Amino acid sequence: MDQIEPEALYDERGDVTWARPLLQGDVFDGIVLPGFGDQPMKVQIVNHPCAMRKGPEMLPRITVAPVGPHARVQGQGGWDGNLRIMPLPDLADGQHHATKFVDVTAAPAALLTRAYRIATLTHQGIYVLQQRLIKHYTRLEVPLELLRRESAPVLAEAVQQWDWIEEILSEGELTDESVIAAEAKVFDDWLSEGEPSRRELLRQEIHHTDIRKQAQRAARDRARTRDH
Amino acid sequence: MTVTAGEPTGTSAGGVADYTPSAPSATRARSLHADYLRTHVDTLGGEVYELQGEARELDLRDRTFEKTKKSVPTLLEELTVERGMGWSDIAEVVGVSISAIRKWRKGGTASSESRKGLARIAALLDVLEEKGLVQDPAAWIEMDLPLDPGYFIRPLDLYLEGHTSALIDLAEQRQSVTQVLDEVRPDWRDNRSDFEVFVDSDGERSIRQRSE
Repeated sequence: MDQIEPEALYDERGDVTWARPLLQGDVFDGIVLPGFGDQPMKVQIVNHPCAMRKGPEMLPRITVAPVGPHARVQGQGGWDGNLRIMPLPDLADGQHHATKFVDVTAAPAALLTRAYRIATLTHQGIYVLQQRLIKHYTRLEVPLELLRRESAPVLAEAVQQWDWIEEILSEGELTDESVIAAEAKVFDDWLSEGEPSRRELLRQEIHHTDIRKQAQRAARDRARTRDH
Repeated sequence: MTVTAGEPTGTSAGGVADYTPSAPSATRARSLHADYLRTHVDTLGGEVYELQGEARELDLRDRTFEKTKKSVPTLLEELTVERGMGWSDIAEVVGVSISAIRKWRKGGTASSESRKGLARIAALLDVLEEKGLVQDPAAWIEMDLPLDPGYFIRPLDLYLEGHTSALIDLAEQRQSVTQVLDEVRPDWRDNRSDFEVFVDSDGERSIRQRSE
């Protein structure tokens, strides 16, 4: 099993940009999880990115796992020996946490808003989470390179959407969920254009640079011409 | 050294002294000469290889130095908009998060080490393109190398491990992919996965066991 240091695990902690779409590995705080009492708690999205949305819309319920304080998991022995958790070292307030896979449940998507998001993972961090989830459920150990290849198209799309939103929306608009959702829809429509569509082209790495260049140009054109 | 057929070539009794070569002397002389030339060429080849590696590194350093004169936002513009390189790949090259890099684009401060990292990858992409064998270097470095199923190694991985000269060898097709990997990652064959990635019935990628 692979281990990962906090610097490589987290993309952001604390103040997380709203432009980034919700993804596997995102951690939220202040969520009252149905069936887990009345106290707000931390949760982590464990859904694969492919299983979170239908088109640009989030599914009504998202699979999450509760996150709680946990002793720091150290060394290869620690990462190999704690298969029921995803270690989240230095997650918040200088404390170490862990995601508890045995308590995985479904949360209403409406609860998981950007205002409550306190951490996002790097791509490498997402692969480590996927590796641990697979091991927990099946005892199968999958190398990160394989997970990287499997996830490449969907993560490329997510990063491109992030880029699009950040390029087009103003600072003020980037704190409004409905404006972000509307712009995500515009991006989704743009990605669906063409025959084959840009989304289909994004499924092959050889087209990634072309699609990125097109998206950058289209986003800049839209930023110049759209009505605020 | 001249060797005459039938004459002993050693000094001990028996062993080599008893051995009677069957080839005519002219053939053996030619063979010895060929051995000498091969050794000479091998030695020269090794020296040229080292010299080329040093020259490439110096060239890359010069180009990197020129690139560092650009601002960080300009370097990022070159890498992402002109080259189409992915934010996640740039983050991996520089060793920071995607969010950190995106903040640099809007004026955030990057360390001199990060700036140099951006300049070096930008310089390498220039080199790869100028060699004329890689039309889209940013795409080339992020694609898996053409190996048997179960191997997932990208040129970018070799770059991250510091094997820049080997990477240029690959682009110039001076050595095969397996030759390069044998040299820089001697144990690469041990890491073949029993699984493969395939396009599933819903159009998305999935993982399954390899059939072979």
